[in-house]
Amino acid sequence: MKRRMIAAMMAAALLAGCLAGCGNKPDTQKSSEADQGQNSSAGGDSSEGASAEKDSDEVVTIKYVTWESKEEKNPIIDQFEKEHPNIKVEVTVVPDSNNTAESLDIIAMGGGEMDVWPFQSGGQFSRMQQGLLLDVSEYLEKDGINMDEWFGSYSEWGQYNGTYYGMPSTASVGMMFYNKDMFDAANVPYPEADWTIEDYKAIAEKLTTGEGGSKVYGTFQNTFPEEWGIYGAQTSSLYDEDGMSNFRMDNEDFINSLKLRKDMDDAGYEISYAQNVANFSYSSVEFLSGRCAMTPGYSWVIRDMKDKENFPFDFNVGVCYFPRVSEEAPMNPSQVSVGMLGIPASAEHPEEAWEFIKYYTQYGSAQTISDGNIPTYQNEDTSVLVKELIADTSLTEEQGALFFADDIYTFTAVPTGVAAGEYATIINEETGLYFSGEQSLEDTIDKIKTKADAAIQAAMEEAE
Amino acid sequence: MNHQVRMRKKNKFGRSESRTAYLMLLPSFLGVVIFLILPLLFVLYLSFTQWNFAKGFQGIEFNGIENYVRMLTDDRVKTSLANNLIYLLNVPITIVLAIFLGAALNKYVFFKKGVRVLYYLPFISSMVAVSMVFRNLFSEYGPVNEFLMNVLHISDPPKWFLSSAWVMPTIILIQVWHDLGNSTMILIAGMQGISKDLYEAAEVDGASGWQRLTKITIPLLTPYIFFLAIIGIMNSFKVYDVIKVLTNGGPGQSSNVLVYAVYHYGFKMYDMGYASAISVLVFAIILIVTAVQFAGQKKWVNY
Repeated sequence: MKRRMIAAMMAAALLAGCLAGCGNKPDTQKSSEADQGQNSSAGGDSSEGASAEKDSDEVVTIKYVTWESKEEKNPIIDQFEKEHPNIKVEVTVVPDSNNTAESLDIIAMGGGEMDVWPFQSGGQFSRMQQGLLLDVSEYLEKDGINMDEWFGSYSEWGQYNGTYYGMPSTASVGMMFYNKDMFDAANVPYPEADWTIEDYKAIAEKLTTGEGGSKVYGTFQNTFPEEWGIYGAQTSSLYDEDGMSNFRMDNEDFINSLKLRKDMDDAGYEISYAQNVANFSYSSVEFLSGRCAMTPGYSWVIRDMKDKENFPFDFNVGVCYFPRVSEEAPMNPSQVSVGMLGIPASAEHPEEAWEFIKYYTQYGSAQTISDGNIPTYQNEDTSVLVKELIADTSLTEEQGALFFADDIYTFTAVPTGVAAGEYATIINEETGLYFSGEQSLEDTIDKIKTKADAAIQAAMEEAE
Repeated sequence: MNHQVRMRKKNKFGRSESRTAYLMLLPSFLGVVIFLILPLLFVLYLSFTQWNFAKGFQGIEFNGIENYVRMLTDDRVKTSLANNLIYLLNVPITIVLAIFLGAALNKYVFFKKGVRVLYYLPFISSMVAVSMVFRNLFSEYGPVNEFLMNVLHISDPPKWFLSSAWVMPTIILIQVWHDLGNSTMILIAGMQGISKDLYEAAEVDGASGWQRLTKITIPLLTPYIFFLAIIGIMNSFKVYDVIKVLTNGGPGQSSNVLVYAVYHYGFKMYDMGYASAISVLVFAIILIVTAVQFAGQKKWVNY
């Protein structure tokens, strides 16, 4: 009898131990993506959501999940909490890596684990397409917000198919950064305002010096998925008039854009695509360390220029717009991609999340700029923003103003239309094979066209 | 007192002890059911549906065997299956190397225990960490290629994981390096169970070293080899981490494997139904291969 009781108690204790292991509260700082995924399904109802009762003075906690570790100390958060005493903002930081977007997807879909959802550079479109985000049209109407007034041309980065799902957040403005000292030493004139990719290649040749370990490259181009098109997409859209893929052998702009990279790789003016992919390197690393003379980078290079601890450098930096793909291309081209702050469709506190997003957008510009990101909110004094942007870097006001100019010609090589996700994957895979020398240009263009058309066709049929 | 003891001895498990046994098994059993059996059945069900899991459970739409039909004509799945079959080569390579290494370590080396530990260390290292290190080692101007170019004067060394032709051999190399230690330890344990009399008798009869290895050691090791083959093949079909870290399925699709395809369709294209169908395919393949191996063991395994 006694033995039975002890055995039963031990079994019960084991059982309780197992179930307690599944039911713990998610931790709030530096959670890994795996933990978030599991905890959101098992611990969802034991989290702070329980504190949001019907009482209106009750404090509501909204969850802002992001990859920017700086956000934990962002003064905007304290300011917002002071002005809205009934809303608390809980910041969770996930590791910044290649898979950050996917980890945020999983947290958002978990339900109850995220109220404010940030996106980088165009990632918002496929999620809007899948219906993962809350339609904010009624909030916009209630608050009387005119998106064009607030964001100008950036407003299209917060909407899909005419419906708004959030507010555009920070813009990544493309710009060519160059090392003036290296130009001076080689007696090469700085790039002209109307330069083309032919000029670019010629300058890169002149500035490539040295061999082996001490080689200095003329240029360094990133290997992000859309980088193949920072010249080609200036005048050519990714979709043709019928909505199919625009990759064909008679599309000179795309051809020249692809060949430029391959030719410069083969001639040794830049680190080869394959080596680049293996190193995970990017503009700031290669340019600020003096390993290259030019790099088509983005405004976040300025963020890294301010980071004297990780990126110390001591040369004069020049900035100018990307080279044009041809003489007929518009002046001042810059690939721009814009992130967004949205609300997951499954969020528990959408109204409070909206208040935070509004406040952050309106009053957070100063903090955003001082981090080297370009804010999208238009109602700020540009000269103040320029001063903040160049602070602590050696850039001049004239150079800083280029990032805010009215006459920037913006374009993007990121697919944002039908079957955007598959199209981007196909382009990335096939151009990768071309740049590594595995496949000819004709085959690459052919395969992209065939595969992309099939994907677009399938997506259009499914939508019917 | 005696009478009660005799009563207990009559039925092997008295009722009370039987119930205790079940209670003890209960937590583990519940764990297996909740975290293994139910998800497995759910995945099986999902493979017959189309599910964009962004839409929550309401988004599940039954669509019959459409996913399976799609698999027959899908290039990515065909490439992945072919790559998995190529990747299977890591099993025989590891076993053959382990036999020779095990024989050597068993007899000839000083500091036997230390050397064995060194060989075992890769196996207990995280595959992700190993992949990152090898990524650096085998990059285009990395240490390996520098060695090949400057010391061995091979002017055009292969691009390893950056070339579609060499990527699978490179991954097999990494896996063999990782698993060799474990296989060697298991075979050494097997070799130590072989009676020395057999070797002495063979030597008396004039058998050479090679003959002793192939006629005595290997036949008596066949149960262990069978075990390594089963486990190795099962794990080969489940490979994912080294692919994800090293190449992300590239260049192009040349290092896609079935589990990577599951990840791609499930988490990048949000198409959970199709991803589930591919994982059911993996399950079926492993099941069939293992069944065939078990049936065939009578022919070559000596117990």
